[in-house]
Amino acid sequence: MTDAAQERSIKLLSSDNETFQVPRNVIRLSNTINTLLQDLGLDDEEDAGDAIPVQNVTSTILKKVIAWCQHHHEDPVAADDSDSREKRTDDISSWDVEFLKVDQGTLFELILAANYLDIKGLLDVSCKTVANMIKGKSPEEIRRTFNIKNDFTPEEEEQIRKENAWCED
Amino acid sequence: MEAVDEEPCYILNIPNELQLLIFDKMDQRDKISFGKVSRKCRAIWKESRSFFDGISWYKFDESIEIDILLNVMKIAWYSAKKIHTSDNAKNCEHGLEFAKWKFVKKLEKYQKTVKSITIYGECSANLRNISSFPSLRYLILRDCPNIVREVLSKSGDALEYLEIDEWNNNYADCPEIYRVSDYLSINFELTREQLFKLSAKKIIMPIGGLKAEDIFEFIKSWQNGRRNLEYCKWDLYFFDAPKFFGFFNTEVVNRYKRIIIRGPGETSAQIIFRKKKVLIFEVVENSDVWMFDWDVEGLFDSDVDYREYSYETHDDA
Repeated sequence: MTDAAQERSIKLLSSDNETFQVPRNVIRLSNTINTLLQDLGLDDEEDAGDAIPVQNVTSTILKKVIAWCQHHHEDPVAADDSDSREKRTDDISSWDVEFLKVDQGTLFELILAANYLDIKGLLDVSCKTVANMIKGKSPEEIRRTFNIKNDFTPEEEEQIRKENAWCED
Repeated sequence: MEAVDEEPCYILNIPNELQLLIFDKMDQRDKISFGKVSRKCRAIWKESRSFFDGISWYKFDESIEIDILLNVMKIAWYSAKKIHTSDNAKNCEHGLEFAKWKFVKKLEKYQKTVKSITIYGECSANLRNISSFPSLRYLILRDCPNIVREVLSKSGDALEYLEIDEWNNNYADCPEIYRVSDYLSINFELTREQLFKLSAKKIIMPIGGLKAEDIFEFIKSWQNGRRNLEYCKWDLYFFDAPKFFGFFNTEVVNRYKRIIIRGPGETSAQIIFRKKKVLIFEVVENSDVWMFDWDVEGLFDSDVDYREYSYETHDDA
């Protein structure tokens, strides 16, 4: 990407038809947008041109995604190798912790958006946040937290108890 | 219950790949709890650890013993090593991670009473978290150079049985080596002085760096009362023995029930000793190959005692 391309803005169109103007060097964190711009040769055009439709993301979520990218736009690009990604969940920055203090609907929408836009850092930190919501909870507490219905039959529960007995304390 | 019916369940309504991504961020205890939440959660749990499908790990019940678990670890480790270039490597790593976690959990539980531990490779890096094993008597360390000293130092009283199968390090400075009372298998060389400090009655060691007369003197010390004369009939195992072909003459050979030779070049040694009607336990060209040629499936059977396999069986090979 040239310096000129870095300085220009890109227009994104949310699923509910709201347009967002985003600096190119901010939206670079999205591999999906990057690939699109490069494949279509739009990186070299001076005019922002037509808005790029982000069909799966609402304006509310896209706004948050852009805010996250704005804060992290100077971060190094995450490695593509998923195996090398850090598995710790206690290394979320305080900014990200505050940023992800949202209702569950928004949190999972962010995960879906980060996945669709291929923003590895956001996907990683939002999944860690969900993992942290599970941390230390009993099965019943997990059910309550995520509104999951226990659909095991008594026979299945007994089977699970037997299967898991060897790895219990 | 009302909340369950009224509120949407977001986590189970995102694509499977994202559920697995979240699951992968959990620690092992949370993964187990998550697997008990619902059928779908259990399916995610099992899917994430497809490595274990082939060995039906979940058939285990509360009767599982540490040795079984260790064999699970061993399979995971060997499998991961064998197919590390294939697509299944990640699954093996998952299995290994889980086995490692379980290994440590089991050890924490039985730490004060466990008598036997076998450690393979990097499976047990978390052993550092465990303070000591006061009842430990049998210890086998294979290809885990980073923890040999720590684990040795955490063993309680003198070990009866110790194998250190790590080729790139010398642990001759570990005092625990010299306190082993029964069986010692090492693959690093000792000096003459160190050799005479050993307490073990059965020894496997490389002797390439020792003079033949030192070995002979060491053997004679067994016969001359330094140790009980009874030990004369005990086995003498040496690695790297070809240079001692001349030393193992009829007089020496006939004193021992079995002489075990391992290391390069013993094909000829086998012939020599068979002529003298000495039982040869194991003859291989390369010990690494020997390790990987083990029948892993067979060892997984609960009735196979790994230690027995190591040094008591195959008399009639």
